[in-house]
Amino acid sequence: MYHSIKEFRVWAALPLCLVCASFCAGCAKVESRFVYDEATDKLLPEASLAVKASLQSTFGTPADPQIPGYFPVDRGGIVAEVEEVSTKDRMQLRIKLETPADENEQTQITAGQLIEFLFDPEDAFDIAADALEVKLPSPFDALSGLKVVSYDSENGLLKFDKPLPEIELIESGLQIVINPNYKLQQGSALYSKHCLHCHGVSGDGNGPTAIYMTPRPRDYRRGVFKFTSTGPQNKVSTADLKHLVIEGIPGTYMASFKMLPDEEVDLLVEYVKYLALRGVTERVIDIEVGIDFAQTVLEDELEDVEDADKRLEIMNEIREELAEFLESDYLEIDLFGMLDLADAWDESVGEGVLQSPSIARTDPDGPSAADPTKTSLENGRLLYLGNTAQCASCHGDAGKGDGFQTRQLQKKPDGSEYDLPGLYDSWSNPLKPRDLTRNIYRGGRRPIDVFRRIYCGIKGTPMPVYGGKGLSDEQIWDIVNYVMAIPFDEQKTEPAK
Amino acid sequence: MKRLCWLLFFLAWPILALIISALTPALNWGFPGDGASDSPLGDEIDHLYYLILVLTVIVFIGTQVGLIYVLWTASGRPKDQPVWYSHGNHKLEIIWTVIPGAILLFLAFYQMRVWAEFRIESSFPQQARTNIIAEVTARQFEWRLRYPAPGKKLEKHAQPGDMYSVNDLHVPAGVPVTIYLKSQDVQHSFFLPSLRIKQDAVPGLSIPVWFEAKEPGEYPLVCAELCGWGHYKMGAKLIAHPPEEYEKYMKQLHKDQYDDGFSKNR
Repeated sequence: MYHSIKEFRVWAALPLCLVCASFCAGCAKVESRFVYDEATDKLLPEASLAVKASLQSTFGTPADPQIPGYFPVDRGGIVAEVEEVSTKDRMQLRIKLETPADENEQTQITAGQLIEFLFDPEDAFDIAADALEVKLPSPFDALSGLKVVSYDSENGLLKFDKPLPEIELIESGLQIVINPNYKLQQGSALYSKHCLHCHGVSGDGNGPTAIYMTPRPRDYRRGVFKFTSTGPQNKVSTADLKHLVIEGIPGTYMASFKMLPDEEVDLLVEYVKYLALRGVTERVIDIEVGIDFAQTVLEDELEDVEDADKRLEIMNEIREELAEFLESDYLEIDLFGMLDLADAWDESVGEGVLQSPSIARTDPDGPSAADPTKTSLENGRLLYLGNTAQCASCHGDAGKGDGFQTRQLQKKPDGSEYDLPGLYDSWSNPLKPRDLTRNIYRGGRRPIDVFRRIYCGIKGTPMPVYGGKGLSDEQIWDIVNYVMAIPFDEQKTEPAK
Repeated sequence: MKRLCWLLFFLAWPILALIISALTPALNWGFPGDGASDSPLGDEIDHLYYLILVLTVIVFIGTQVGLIYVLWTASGRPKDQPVWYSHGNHKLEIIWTVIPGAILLFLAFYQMRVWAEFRIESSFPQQARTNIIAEVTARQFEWRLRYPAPGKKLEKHAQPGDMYSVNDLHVPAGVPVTIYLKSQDVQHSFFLPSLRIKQDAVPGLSIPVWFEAKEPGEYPLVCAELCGWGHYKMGAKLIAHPPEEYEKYMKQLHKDQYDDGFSKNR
């Protein structure tokens, strides 16, 4: 077999080398990166680069996620208030901690932590814009990467590694954050472990295992989440996201994460909100910039122009406009777009947008509150089949999810028709209306959950909003009662076996 | 000298194996926790486990001593002496067939009662057969639970008053209870390590599993069949309550399950 022991050794060494090589390859550090929206790549190259750069500087990378303080995301950090700005020594500030430091490693001020100043974004923008006008670098540049050198908890003196620039906004009463975004970093690590393989690094619902799944994992980047307790115009609430992570979504691949400690679920939820806000910001900017500087705009301009010189002229004209836009208006669009978003999401965090019924659930077998001549179940059945609610048009007469709409060609958001008949969600994935006979309720099976699905609609799907306009709360309860009774149409009773 | 070296080389391995085995409890490689089981049936299973362990250790030492004896005597045989073959020796063949056979037969009869009590429905304790508390449906990657409404019996098919939950299986402590185990997709395995209960969940079957938690407390519930990339996510909990608290929990679960978002807030 082997002619010599030497030859044997050579061959025996080969598998060993392969094992070592595969270990080395497997242990290589993979740097994960956010991918950008298709719309960003469809902008003119310079515009696309600018959008990517501003996204990166605002939201960081998966390894170093960050988000401006005005977004309603609990990003972590030690909040303090400036008590005194020394005029002599620009390398220190006297501060007062707002969050008392505890034993937690992340809430102790240690050397090397970043310091962020919570300026009013609009005031800061004005100052930066003034500097830009006279072609000076923004004074805020000097604050980036400012790190703690030491902190004395006795007298509140915070020393740092660079002198403060002369900015009038740095005054006593200003809030600062030390070690900002540490919760996002922890959330990012947890997200890579538990969520990334389906939902993807960027939260685009396109992770490595996503292709095996129906329904597809949620693409967070539109900021649209299906099962919410908030009003039709509101975003998802933190409590809704937390509920989904803990309870899972039966009927889909989203499993329960009850096994995780509560703090870890919170970190994950904040990270998901961060990914959603990053995605929505990108879309908003893409739309604003795309009006004038999408590749299609340039193509349209050049369409009927044959002359080469003329073409060059048009191209240069647009380039110049773009350069000017990027230097001036772009920064404003970027900032104010984000401030508007922050406001819209901020509203959904509060309790005020929680949608609750105005009356208690009616007894399914008792008289309907909407029409006392019938029982609630009977009235619910009539509403379900009737023309006001039109539930049966999608969910089918028997609730099998096979209504006539599932055999019609539906329109895309842009007005054209889909190639295949059936319903689609806002992400253009084919969608089946829920089969109500199966006794599986994705958004939860409590009566209030089913009530909210009808009252608030299901965001991102053709399930409409009935609350407050189409149906009264009394009528919705009748439909809830009927829908919840559908799985038990043929009552089967026999002992468990 | 060379002969002794080789002999010590072969002797070193079984001795090392025994030393490592003796050290396992100290290294925490043995049973979880303090090593004791948390269910009465588990105590009996542990007893069988230790009995088999003792028997195999005795057999292991015996065969290793025999092996070393053969190595020592055969390697010391002078070159001019004829070789001795044991093949076809009836006496030896009978000894090493009858002894293991007797050991196996003893084990087979000795464990029969415990095995039947654990696995065969007609031999379940009477209380376990009447105390059917939940249907556990494994799916990638969670345990979906269905409990009957308080005061009702679990039915084979879903009932209007049923209560649903995920991953945290609540049971009364100190009484034998039975769950019905199902799978919605692939094979999973319902494993309560500290109660020594393990049962595969097989698609298409509804398998009764009974167990009894001695004390109230939380015990790990895991999947013991590699069921896919999210296998680890099936880490859940068995929560044993004192019986009266269990009733209270079930009532609360029922209340939460039928929350209409109005009545509770007023």
